Order: sequence, then C-alpha cells, then structure tokens
Amino acid sequence: MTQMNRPQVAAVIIIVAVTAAGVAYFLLNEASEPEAEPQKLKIFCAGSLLYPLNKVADAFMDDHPGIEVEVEGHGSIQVIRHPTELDDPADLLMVADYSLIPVMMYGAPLPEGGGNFTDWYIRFAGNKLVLAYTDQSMYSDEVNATNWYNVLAKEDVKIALANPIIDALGYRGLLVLQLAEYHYGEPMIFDEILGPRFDPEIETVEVGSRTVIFVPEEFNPVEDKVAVRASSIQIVPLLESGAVDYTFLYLSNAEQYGVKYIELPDEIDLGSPEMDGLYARAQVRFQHARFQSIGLDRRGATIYYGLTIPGNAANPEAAAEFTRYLLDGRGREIFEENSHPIYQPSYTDNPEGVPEALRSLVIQEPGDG
Amino acid sequence: MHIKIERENRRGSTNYSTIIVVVVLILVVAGAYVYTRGLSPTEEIPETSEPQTSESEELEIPEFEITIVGADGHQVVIGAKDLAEMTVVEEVGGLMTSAGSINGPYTYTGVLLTDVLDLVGGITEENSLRITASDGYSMVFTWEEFSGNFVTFSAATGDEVEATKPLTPVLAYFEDGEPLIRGHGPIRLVILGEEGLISEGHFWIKQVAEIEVIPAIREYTLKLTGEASEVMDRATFESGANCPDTTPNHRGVYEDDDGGIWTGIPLWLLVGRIDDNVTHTANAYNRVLADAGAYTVQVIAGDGYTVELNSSFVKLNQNILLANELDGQALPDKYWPLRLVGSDLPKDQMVRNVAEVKLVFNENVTLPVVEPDVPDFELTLVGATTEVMDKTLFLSGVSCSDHYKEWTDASGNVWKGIPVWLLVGRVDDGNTHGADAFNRTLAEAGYQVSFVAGDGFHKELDSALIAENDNILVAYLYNGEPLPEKGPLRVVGEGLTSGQMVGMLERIEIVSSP
Repeated sequence: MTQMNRPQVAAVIIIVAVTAAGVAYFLLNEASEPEAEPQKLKIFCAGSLLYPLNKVADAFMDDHPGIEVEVEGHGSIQVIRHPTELDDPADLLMVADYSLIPVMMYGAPLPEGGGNFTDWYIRFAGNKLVLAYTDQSMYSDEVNATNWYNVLAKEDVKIALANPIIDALGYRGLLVLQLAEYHYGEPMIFDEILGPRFDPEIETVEVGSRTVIFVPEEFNPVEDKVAVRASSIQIVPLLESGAVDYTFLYLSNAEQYGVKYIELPDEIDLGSPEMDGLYARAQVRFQHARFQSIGLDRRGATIYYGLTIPGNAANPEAAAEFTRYLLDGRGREIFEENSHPIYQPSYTDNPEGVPEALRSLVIQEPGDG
Repeated sequence: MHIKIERENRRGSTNYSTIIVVVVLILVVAGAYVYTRGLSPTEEIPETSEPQTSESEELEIPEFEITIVGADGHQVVIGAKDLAEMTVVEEVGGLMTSAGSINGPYTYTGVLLTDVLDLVGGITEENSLRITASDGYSMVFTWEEFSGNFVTFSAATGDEVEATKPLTPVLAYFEDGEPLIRGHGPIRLVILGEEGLISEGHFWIKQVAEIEVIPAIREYTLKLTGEASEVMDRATFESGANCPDTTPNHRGVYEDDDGGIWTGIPLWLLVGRIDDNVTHTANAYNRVLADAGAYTVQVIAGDGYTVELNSSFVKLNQNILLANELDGQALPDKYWPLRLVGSDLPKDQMVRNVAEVKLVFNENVTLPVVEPDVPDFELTLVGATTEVMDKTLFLSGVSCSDHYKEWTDASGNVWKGIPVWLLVGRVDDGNTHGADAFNRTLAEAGYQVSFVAGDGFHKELDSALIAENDNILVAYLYNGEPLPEKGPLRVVGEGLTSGQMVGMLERIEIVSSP
C-alpha cells in the first residue's frame, strides 16, 4: 500500500469532514423542523393603543394559530419613522394622529422602488383628553369640571405632563390648557399653571385669532410642581403612587388604568369634531426640530387614530387579516370592552388603495370627493 | 403596568445547527493546516512584549465622522483616530422606549461626552447641548441632563427609581464588546452608570452626526436717541416686550409669509421714551409731536444701514415693531439682536441687526396747540354768590397762565387744572375776578369748602388748607389727557388723602362761614 504524504492525508481529512458535516447539517435540520414556521406579523403602534392591542393580538393568535403577532409601541411619529427612515419594516402601523400617515408616508419612496410607502389610511377611532387623578390627589374631594384649572394652579398641587417633544399626549395637554383660557374666559390659566415653572418659560403669543404656544427646545421644569416624563406609560405610576396629583390622559387609557378622571368640556377636550374650529385656535410650535420629516407646528384638532399597511410589509395578507379582525371581529369587541370604540364603518381617503379584503369595512372620508 | 422586557434584535436569528457545523469545519481545517505545516502550535509564535488584550480592545473603532461645534462656533470634525486617543470608558446602561419596553442593560465601550466637548472649549451651566443623528433626529440636553440628572428606571421591574450615582453620557462604539449594529452605529450616544439603570430612550441617539454646544444668552444694547436718550440693555428690552397686561400692549406680533412669528416692541412705544421728557407713563408717547411731523424716525443697523420713517406713519402703529424674537427664540445671527419688521413695512425697510433708533427733529415745524378732548361738564360754585361754569368757561380760565397749575403725585403722574382757591374766590364774596377776588380775611376767619361728586359723595376741606394753595387743584387733565377715571373733574393735591380727592366733581360750596 502506497504511503500518503502529509498533503494527501490532509485532503482526505477535509473531504471526510466536509461529507460528515453535510450529513450532520441535514440530520440536525431535519430534527429541528418538526413543523412549519409560523407567519410573523409585526405591528408598530402608538403607546396609547398598547393596552387593548396586546389583548387583540393574543385573541388573534388564538384564532389564527399560524400567525405570530408582535406588537411594539412607540410615539406615533416614531411608529412611522421605523419603516420609513430607520430601515425597520413592519406589517401594520397604527398611530394616534392619522394625519401623520399622508404627511410622512405618501411622499416617501420605498427603498426597493415601486412607489411610496403607502397611499391610503384608515381612520378607525377617536379619543379625548381627560384630567386624571386618584383619591389621594390633593383636593380630590372638591375638584370638578368647573374648577379643575384653579386646582391645578394651586401651589401645593403637583401635576405630570407627557413630554410634548416626545409624545402627542404632551402637546395635546398644552393645547387643552390654552383652549381652557378661551372657553372659561380666563386669560392666565396657562401661565398660572405652567408658564413660570419651566426654564426657559413656555411662551404663548396671540397671533390674530389664535394663540401659539412655543415649546422650548429644553423642556425643563424648574420646580417640583411639574414632573415631565416621556409618555403616559411613565406617568401613570407617578399618579398611582401619589408622587403627582393630576395629569392629562386619553379617556381610553384612564379607563384602562382604572384611575379617576374629570371629563373636560367638549370645547377643549379635543374629542368633538364639531369643535374643530375652536380647537384650531390653539397651536403648538416646537422650537426644536426633533424630526426632519415632520414640521414644527401642531394645531389643535380632533384626535383620530389611523392605520396603514406599508408597501414593504413582509406579510401584508396577515396585516389585512388582523385589520379586518380589529375593525369587524373580536378585536373590535376587545377595543369596546376597553373603552376605545372602533368606528363602524371606518374612513379612508383612498378606497381604491385599501386592500380588497378591507374595502367593505371603510367608506370615503367626508368631503374627499 | 405592562412592561415588556426585550433584547433588541441585534444579531438576526441564530441557527445552532449551522454554528455546530461551521465550528467542526474550522477545527478540522485548522488541524489539517497544522498537520501539513508540521508545526506544533507554539513553535513559531513570535516573541512579543505586547500585553494580552481583551477582545474589545483588539477590535478597532469603526470609521466615522462627527462634527463638534463649540459655544463660540468653533468646529472640529472627529473620527475613530481621535476617540482612540481618549480615555476609554466601559459601563452599563439601557433604555426604556416611550411605550415602556426596556432594552438592556448592556455594557458599552466608548468615551465620555465631556472629553469630546473639551475639544471645542467645553460646556458650562449657561449652555445646553444639541445632538443630531445622521437622519436628522436630534435632542437637546439641558445642563442638568448633561451633568447626569436623568429619570431612571429599574432594569428588572421598569419602576422609576432614583439613581444614587450620577449617570454619564457616553459616545459608545461597542456594545457588549462588539461594534454597534447597522442603524445604531458607528457611534451612539448612551447614558451609562455604575448601577446599570435604565434611562429614557429618546436620549439614546443612534448614528450621531453632530454635537453642538448651544450658546448662552448673548447680551446687546439698543441706543435710543431723541429729546431724551438712553442705552437700553437686553434685559430691559425683554422685560418691556414681555410686560403683561399693559395698555397699550407692549408686545408687537408679526407673522411673516412663511409663518414665522416675530415678537418685540412696537416702534412707537420706543419712540415714546425719547420724543420728550416723559419716558414711561400712559402718555409717554407725544401724539402732538407725531402729528405735526416734528421728527422722523431713523432705524439704524450696526453697519450703518438706515431706514427713515415719518412720525405720522409710526404713530400708534402696532404693525411696525422692533422684534427681538422669532418663534419665541432669540433672532438668528442673520438678524440678531433686533430686526425692524411688520405687516406695514416693505421687505427693504425691515432693517436687520438694529443697533439704534434715532429721532431727527425738524426745527421748522410749528407745533399746533391742541386741546385734549375733555368731555363736557358743568361745575357749580356756591358761596355768597352762585356760578355755573361750563367746560368752555373753565378752560378759558385755564388758558390764563396764572390760573393754570400742575401737581405731580408720588407716582410721577402730572395733574393739571385750576387751584381750588381761585375757584372759591369767584363766589366767596361779590368780587369774582381779579387779584383780590379771593377774600383772605374770610379764609383766615375760617370756613369749610365742600366738594360734592355727581353721586352725592362729598368731602370738606378747611379754608386754611386751600387758601392761596396752588398745590390743591380741580384737575381736568392727567398726564396730558382727560382723566381716565373719576372725571371729568377731580380735586387732587398735596397732602390730600385719596378719600379727599373727590372725583366726578360737580359742585364746590362754601358750607359754613363765620
């Protein structure tokens, strides 16, 4: 038998190893794939939707065993930025301000070409702001729908605000305080509650028939009276623990968290479409552009939630099925049970663009042709 | 609270079978290689004095460019080489998204933000910091935040907890010893500390591209030159512009074609400080001078560029203002510190970098005598005789310079009218007018003079107090204008209480004579 030299021995070793590895790979994969991978449905949503949406996702997965739903909450602008600017695609986007969808997505081209991220939205729900508190809040036994702003102005009352730079709930809280000045005919409500409590101060300027609130780029409270947190998720524990006495919340969240609340007049709660003309009298202007893709102004307007399926969704059929489940199935019931009713029908600006499976659930926006 | 604790999907899905196969292959091929070379693993390892290093130290900092802008505008661009020369920091931190999800904590490697800022002169309490990502996302850090005061949360529970040790902003290039994933790196601003606490996610800035030290408030002065002159500093200007609840409104507002909101002080109010010697009362602005065209208003930029406006154009015009803020912030450098703006001005008259407002008086202008528009009234004088003075008769008395007197109250307001003793002298005896009309003998004997308002309210003064006293008047002007309240006539003067200063005066009566 001929003796092999060292290179020959090495070659044999490599051939044997590669063959063995191939067999092992085949066997291992056979063993680890007993069943088909479930479809993944990735949903980015506004933080104020997380509570009911997690419940809907659980119910949906029970009813659709082949689909695994992943829900991730963000501020509404971030919800849209993830697929459009941060290269983080999702199958379904749900935001607390439906108007962000056309502003941020209709003109944004898909990276892989073939059009823009979307050309339609479904406006599926509303909400309104309330003043939340607990039994242990200062003056909880006397605060009511007519004196709440006097209570907030008291020196020994602590309030929490969502950061308006981060969260729509935050700038909507500022709008409510400004609208209260108009509604109650009390021109110092905003200043007495917030004005001097920040450095730099939050300045308001009357421009014609509206008032503009300038939100400084440093939203920096200088007294203990006001606590600022990123969103309601961080604020509610402060309220529950008694660290603060009052905060503005969405009605749906106040109900979901089980805190007490005062319903504000329609003229200021941002929940009544017929009051849109009044809401527009208050405007927030940011002095700092956190995002380049969205302007600096937020005008008072009725709160509407919107959704869309981005053009680069990996699983658009599952997204449409989930949406159908939400608008007209068990999801709708879950939202109702959690104090966040879904419109029936919902509205769209572009019925032709909406996936066919959803068209029967939506009607054209009023006034959109 | 529902807290979702998750690790970011940093490495993609892991296929363990693939890893096993690859490891086996590597070992086999390496063994074969060694075998073919006939070397033992230690035979040819060169001697070296280099110390053993950790895995993260062996990795190179990824290439990048970040622009650093100092408070004075000085810029430097730094890269991997610059960071490699700085002290390495390795600490722990994580973030909470606004929806409550927690990412981390992880161990990050990087350099202190403060070390990087030292390259452009550092940062003080007067500054704040703006950090911008390559996609335009940016956040501003206050001095307090820069110094480590952040809201913090427990990594385990998500509950808000107070940090016992300050947190530190770090420019990180490694996470758990590996370069940051695409989308997060090459450099990420992270908030770290010894306790491994979680901080708010919006401060964690991916793909850092620019770091700017925001300048502190810049001081300036505005020179005002006219009949009076002053140099107004920034604080005075701002307090004037923000003076609340004033009539007229001290704040002027102009919205430009792009929606920019300019705020400042209407020019006519600044003119009012220097058009005469009344600098700051309700009547500081001299309408007579303005109407007469007694001056023109020059608005002068720092470089000498000048716009000249007619006094009548500026008069009481809320649509011409000297703006110190645009959208609530100090003006951009292009316009700083002040810009003349307003809906009544064409663009070429909107002077930027304004340094002076100057009134140029026209000495040839003859000022008209304009009587203030005093409402009609009747004043009844009752004594030995009775006389009813209407406005015309009263003002004709005022026009006699001997009868026209002023009294200035403690607040600097100027009251004008006729001394009470001259009016009493018209009815205290039969002599109504002349040097001896006031009967001094009667006054010395003593009597009471009753001042009766239209609503019946009355107060009495002793004749001794009013006798030949030019400082107790029946006033009809207040700072050159009709009385704003309790008019058209009011008794005022030195030594009187506010209760004795009877307003809405309709009757003066000698009520007791000796």
